[in-house]
Amino acid sequence: MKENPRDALLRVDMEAGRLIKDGFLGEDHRPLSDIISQDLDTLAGLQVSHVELGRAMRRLTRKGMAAIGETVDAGDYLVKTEEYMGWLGCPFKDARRAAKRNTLVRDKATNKEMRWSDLTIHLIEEHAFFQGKGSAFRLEPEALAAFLGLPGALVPQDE
Amino acid sequence: MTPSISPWIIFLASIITSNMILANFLGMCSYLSVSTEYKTANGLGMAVTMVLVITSAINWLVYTYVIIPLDLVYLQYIIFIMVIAALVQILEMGMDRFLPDLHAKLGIFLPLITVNCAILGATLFQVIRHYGFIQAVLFGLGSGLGWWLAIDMLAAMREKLAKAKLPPGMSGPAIAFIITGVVAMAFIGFSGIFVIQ
Amino acid sequence: MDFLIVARTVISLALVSGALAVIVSVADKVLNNYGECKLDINDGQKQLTVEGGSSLLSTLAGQKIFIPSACGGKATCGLCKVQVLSGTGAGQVLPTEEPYLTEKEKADSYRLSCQIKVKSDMRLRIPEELFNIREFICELVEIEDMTYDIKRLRLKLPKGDEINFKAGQFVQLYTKPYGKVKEEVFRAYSISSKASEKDHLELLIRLVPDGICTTWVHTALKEGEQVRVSGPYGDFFLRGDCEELIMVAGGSGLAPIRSLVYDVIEKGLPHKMRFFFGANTVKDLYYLEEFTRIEKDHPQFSFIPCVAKPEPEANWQGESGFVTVALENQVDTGEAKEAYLCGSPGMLNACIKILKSKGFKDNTIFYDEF
Repeated sequence: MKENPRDALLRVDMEAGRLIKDGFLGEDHRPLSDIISQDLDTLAGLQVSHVELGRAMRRLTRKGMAAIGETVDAGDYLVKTEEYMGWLGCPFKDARRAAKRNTLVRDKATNKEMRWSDLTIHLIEEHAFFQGKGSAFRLEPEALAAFLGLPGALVPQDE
Repeated sequence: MTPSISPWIIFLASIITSNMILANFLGMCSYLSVSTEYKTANGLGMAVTMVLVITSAINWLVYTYVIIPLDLVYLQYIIFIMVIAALVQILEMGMDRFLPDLHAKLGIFLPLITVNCAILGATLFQVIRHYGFIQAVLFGLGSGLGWWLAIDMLAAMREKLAKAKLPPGMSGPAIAFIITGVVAMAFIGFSGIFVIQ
Repeated sequence: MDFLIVARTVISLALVSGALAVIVSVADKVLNNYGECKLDINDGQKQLTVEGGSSLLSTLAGQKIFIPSACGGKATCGLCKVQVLSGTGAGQVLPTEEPYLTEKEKADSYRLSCQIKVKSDMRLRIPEELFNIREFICELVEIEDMTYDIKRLRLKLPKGDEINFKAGQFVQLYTKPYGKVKEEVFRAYSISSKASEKDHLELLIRLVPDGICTTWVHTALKEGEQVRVSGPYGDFFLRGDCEELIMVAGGSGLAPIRSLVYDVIEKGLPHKMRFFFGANTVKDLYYLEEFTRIEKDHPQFSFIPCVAKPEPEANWQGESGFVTVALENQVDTGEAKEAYLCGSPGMLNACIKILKSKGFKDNTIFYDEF
């Protein structure tokens, strides 16, 4: 499939060295829409939406923000957030920006760890973009859903 | 040799009964890849229409005043493609200069259109059918509008379907092909109106 | 194969493609050549003739008129606003500009200069103080580790050159290509050196994971190299219409505060100052001796370092907990005070909330976000 010209334009700023050092695409040469639709297919198979994943990530990050730089006990997880000055613009050019906040989460039961940034949460929640394969910050949808325990018990729609 | 069909009949026929996409299945590549979002599809449809009108006109002139007199008919495919490519380049430059707002909306699509086979297809149809100039231009306009109509319909349906639950593997090109086929069959119903093929 | 047919084919195709190529080149020259565009700035105060085709921000920078930008022209900081009074090439307000322009600004013809291209003659209005902004090719004379992730850069200006800045302002630092980064980018950093020292600049740069500029500074930059900066920029500077300054910073946010503190002292201003410096652990602290010394020598200044989670082995004797705790406990009202904050968005939000609850108003709280 040819790449949609709009996506081709967005891709330019997703490359390494434009917005962030290693870019959002890793080694992935697939068209942007393919990356997103294939991840969406995986999610459809898991019966969980990218919005739910984003919400769960944001909830954990919020808990970590209660004590920036320290590890916070958030029920089944231990959460630590770190912040840096400034903002990062969303590469999808929707004029949204995210704080430079990294969240490190550890599952108490399995001792597995996952990390994400505020921008990652926005990319997943709003654009269903998990980043290209080979990107250091790519979160695999199945791994993320399993880590967050989704689909799980109904969570309150507090956002 | 020029058929004595009214240009307006040709215009209507190219939208309804011999629609570029739904009857002739030309220009499928960009049709399928750009129809996921209505706004983008609309933009591309507009750009394709514009290019079709202009290339139909210019290619008619090239055919009549360059290819035939110089006896280069066996090279017509190559020459048409080259003219289309050059034309789209110039069109993009002109739009950027004189119509910057339009260029901001459509400009990115223009390079994609150069290789759209609907463009070459319209030119070749008018050559085969020996259209006169007015007929050729209206044919180009109608083909463009028909292409635009088809992609708008598909984009609207795909946007709605994006939220629906589809069987695995059906989303994306699969469902797009099926929809296109069904709509094409529906359009066959129009063929009773007039037959221009 | 009949040689004549082959020859005719080749010649005809060559001629046709040649003719088309000529036509496209001519069109390119005529259409793409925006040619020279005249920029009239501030009703004739400055008149420039420039090559069209690039963004207004970079075109003006090429003419040594520096419009502030913290995001490198990516439409995420909104600082590069300029009034475009006429100039059809600019077109209509783009979707990327929308979030940064209020209705009034749009009515007053403000645009983001990083998003519009110079395509025709234009009449612009630019704030006078921006003409002060200059570019300097400095020499990096010192690079020192202040903590495990913060480096101090000391830049020497070219011989005879001076930078006149207000304490608290920032400069833009331009990186050179390195590793996978192919193009130059620029980022904003507050000046940490004294405003009275006009031939040198110091910056404090904290390594941000995956940051383009900070990674360059921490890995590729070496002493003795030439570094390009432009400045000074920014609205973060001392107003001083009060009796006491409450200053709060975290991480590399200390930079403009240091400059402000020295400024007040060197100018002999009467303001009392209280500087709350927040850090996660003891190893995130730096400039401890310096500020403690200033506190000893100048009773008008108090230094309150707060460590959120001190390591037991560090034997931290100062304030513990997040900096907002100390702020809450030690600041009683906003009366006759101004607040100067510099840090991450989370820290800024938390501090602003507390200050407002103490009676600080929007016009007495100043913060530097980048």
